[in-house]
Amino acid sequence: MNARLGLGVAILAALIVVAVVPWAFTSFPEDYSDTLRSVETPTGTDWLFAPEAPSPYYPFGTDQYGYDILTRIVYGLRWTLGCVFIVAAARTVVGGGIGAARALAGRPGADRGVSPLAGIPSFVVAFFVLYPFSINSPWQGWRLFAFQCAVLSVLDLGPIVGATAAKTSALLDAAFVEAASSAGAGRSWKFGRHVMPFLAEELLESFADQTVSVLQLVGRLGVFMIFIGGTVMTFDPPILNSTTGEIAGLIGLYRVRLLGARWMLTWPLAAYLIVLAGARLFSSGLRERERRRHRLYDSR
Amino acid sequence: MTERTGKRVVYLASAILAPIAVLCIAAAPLLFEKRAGVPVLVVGPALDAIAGWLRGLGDGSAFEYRFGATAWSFFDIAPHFFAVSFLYVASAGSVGLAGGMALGLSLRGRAAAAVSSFLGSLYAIPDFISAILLQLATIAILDATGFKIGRISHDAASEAFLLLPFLLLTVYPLAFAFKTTLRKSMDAEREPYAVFALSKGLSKRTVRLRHIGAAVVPALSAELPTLLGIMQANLFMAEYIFALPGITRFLFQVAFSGRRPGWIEEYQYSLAVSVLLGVMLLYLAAWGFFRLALYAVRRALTGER
Repeated sequence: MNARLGLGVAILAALIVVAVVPWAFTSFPEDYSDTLRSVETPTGTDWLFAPEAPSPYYPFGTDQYGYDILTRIVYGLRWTLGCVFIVAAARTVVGGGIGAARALAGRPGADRGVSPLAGIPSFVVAFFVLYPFSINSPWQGWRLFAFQCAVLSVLDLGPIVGATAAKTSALLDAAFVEAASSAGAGRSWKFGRHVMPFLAEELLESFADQTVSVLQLVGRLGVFMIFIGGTVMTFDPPILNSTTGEIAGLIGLYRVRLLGARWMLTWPLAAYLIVLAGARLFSSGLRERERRRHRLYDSR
Repeated sequence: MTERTGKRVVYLASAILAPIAVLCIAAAPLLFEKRAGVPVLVVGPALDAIAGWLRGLGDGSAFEYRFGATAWSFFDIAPHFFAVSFLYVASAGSVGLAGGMALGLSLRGRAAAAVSSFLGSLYAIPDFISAILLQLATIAILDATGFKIGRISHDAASEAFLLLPFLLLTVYPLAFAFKTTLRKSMDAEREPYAVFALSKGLSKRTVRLRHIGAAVVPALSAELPTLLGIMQANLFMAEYIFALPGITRFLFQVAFSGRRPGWIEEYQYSLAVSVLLGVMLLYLAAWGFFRLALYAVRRALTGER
């Protein structure tokens, strides 16, 4: 295992631990909020209003509704990681499956050049589909999460399908597969015994790349107030909030806090960057491992 | 059917299917209704909206929208928004492509590795994070030194062209063009025509410009659809985060006026369709612009008439 891969795995493993046992990392329950609290000082009683700046009591501070930022992050992390891993895995399996099937059918596809639809980014399509569901949805929580993951899974399949089809086609044309064919191997044998071991590596790399891509997609949707797990909107006063505290969504939610109470934005931003760094290192580490293996095979 | 004819058929099909796809994408928010607290699939309102939009093509109502209590024509306002978006894409893309090409052609060895690593790191940061970091850095520098790098968002008092979104939109084409140019030019350097030109006594600089540079341009041209796809996504984020008066922000500002009571009833299908068609047009306009620009660059490098 190279250093990048090791570091990526370590970061992601640490994040998974936080996501699994969030209560071990905060002293407050999940939906805890306190907009006003009193503190006894030598001069008397001090009244502290939300948002509170970071302090020993609230290490990451609170937002304007009294939610502890640290608590929101550690409880929101499970939604972020859950969405990223589930969608990345679904895209890899579905896209990889379609790509392999196309190659096996002898139609790996070709470059289609410029298409006007490529001008509409996938997160805009996701926004249109998720908008009626995500805000004040009757499906809050896991049902909405599953629906959002399903929608995100079917977007951006093209590159995975294309890459897998190209790789499968190249493997099917390789000399060792030709040799297996001439020895009487059938299509399923060739695919299972000769193509799949190499394709599995490709799909693992694709999964790692997709974790980064999904993280970016979720963050973009968060900027437009489409939060994973649902958005709560009240009209009087007009307030938007994330039901789950998913961390990419927290960035979108607290983005307007640039000029005051900046801690509300910086801690979710830092948490997001740590998740991104973990996913990036994992992805580039896998690619580096593959490069080293190829060098080893080539030198032999 | 020849390959060329086949490609033309694919282009024609995508040109016909793209507006149909836009009509369907814009209808997505109308596909579900909440009944007794449960989302129910309803096709009727979406089909009515599509039919209404098609009927509206005849009398022009397909391109009308409401902002507050007033009805507006999309064509009255769209050219200005379109021009702002195109200005950012064209200027940032030109600077990014030119810079990336120049760096990719001129840097080798450790310098190339260092720049590649730096630009790769910038490229790895999602656009919305880069935008927020730019805003935070601007505020931090202003607080610490009193020096203002640029406005952190557009308002009525500012010009349409702001430095921070321009920087944001430049980074990605710069990194993309650098990576493509470096890879392609290192391949081209080993080609017989480049080796032959060097052996004939031409200087390295001339060979890099006239031979290798000319070989890089078609590679960049082939990658344009991918690059422009990335830039369109960047543009959506830049216009929204920096509040730029561009065509993409218009979509979220007016078609989805989601911060007011009755937000879903206020969804304006016809405006969403108009803006999405405008976004596609922007993509095609940018593609045409950069294709022409790269063609001109190639002609200038090779001295072809």
